[in-house]
Amino acid sequence: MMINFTTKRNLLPMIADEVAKGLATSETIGGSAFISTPLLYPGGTTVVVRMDQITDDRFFVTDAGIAHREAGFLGAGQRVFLPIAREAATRFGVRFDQDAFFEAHTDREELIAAVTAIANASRTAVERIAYRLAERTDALARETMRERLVASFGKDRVKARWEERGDSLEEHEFSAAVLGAAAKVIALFEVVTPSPQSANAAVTKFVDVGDRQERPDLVAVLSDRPKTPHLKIIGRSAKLIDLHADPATWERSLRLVA
Amino acid sequence: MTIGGLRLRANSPLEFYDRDIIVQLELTKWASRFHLVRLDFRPFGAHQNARRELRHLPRRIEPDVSHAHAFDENARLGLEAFRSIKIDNLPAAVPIDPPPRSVRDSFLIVGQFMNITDCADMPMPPWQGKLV
Repeated sequence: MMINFTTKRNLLPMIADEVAKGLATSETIGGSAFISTPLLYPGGTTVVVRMDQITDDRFFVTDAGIAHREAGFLGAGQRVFLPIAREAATRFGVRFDQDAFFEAHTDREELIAAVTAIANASRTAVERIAYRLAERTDALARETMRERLVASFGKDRVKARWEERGDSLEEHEFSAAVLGAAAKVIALFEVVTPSPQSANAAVTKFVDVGDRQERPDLVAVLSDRPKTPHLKIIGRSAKLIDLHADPATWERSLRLVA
Repeated sequence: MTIGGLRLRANSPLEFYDRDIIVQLELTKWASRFHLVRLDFRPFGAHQNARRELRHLPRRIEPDVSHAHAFDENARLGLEAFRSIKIDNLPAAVPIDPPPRSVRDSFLIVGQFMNITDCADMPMPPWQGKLV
């Protein structure tokens, strides 16, 4: 047993070497080499870097525009992609031509560093774009809610970004308000996303306005119920509606509100 | 090609017309965008099924192995798997078996996965020279 144990332990450098070599693979197609690196884009695709030999000891290294493609598949247009990609290129010291990250005329000794830099720039750009799109979806959630309110109550009765005074006399901005007769506010809606800041801010608004003697209906519109923190606390101060519920459920919930 | 909020997005490299072809079916509904299915044909890169919930799938799909980010496998992860944000975009993938042997084969598979009739009758891409 002892001998086996020692033998297995002695294999470790070899196994580690095997793992290290397996982290990246390469394939050459028509004079271009494609290196699949261990870095991952959002979604799980490995970052690929392409190398072309320009002269005996000079190489062209690029992500072949794959970051641009992946950003497109995430739903990012040029306006989102270009500034983020430029920033990533600066951060990792590589060049960028509006489509691909690249390093031209790279020496053979610099290839590992160049491939690493290109791969990181490419991956960082796509990851940052995914986060940027996530921020935009908060705005999309508010827009979706507004559309649903307009469908139920009509355009004239729905006001986006409505300021309402709480019991503390502090003004709070709600995602939307629904007006009743004589333009009186009958319900206030706040989109709540899974971020703790969003949940905390919503509770503050609901509690303060809810403490007033005369108060409109208060509704928390949840963009993602299972991931929303403090759900019970939010539920104590406001009615809960799921943003992405089917239209019939949404309609039914609104009838209970106004 | 847009039908009732559905969009088919496809991409292939200019120089290597039968490699790294990606086709994705998307749905835009209620001001949200959902990615329903993505097919990667002979990709340059590998795919990693990184999430713990996906341990029943191969952990890594090697480069050049065509694979499908299939609806059913991603549905196990909930609605978020179909959104492009924060959580990974369609993180679950399975190798396509049998693998396509041509671009036309690939489009046949697109037709099967996405329920598009006559998909393989689409004109195939002509060879693009390097100096495009």
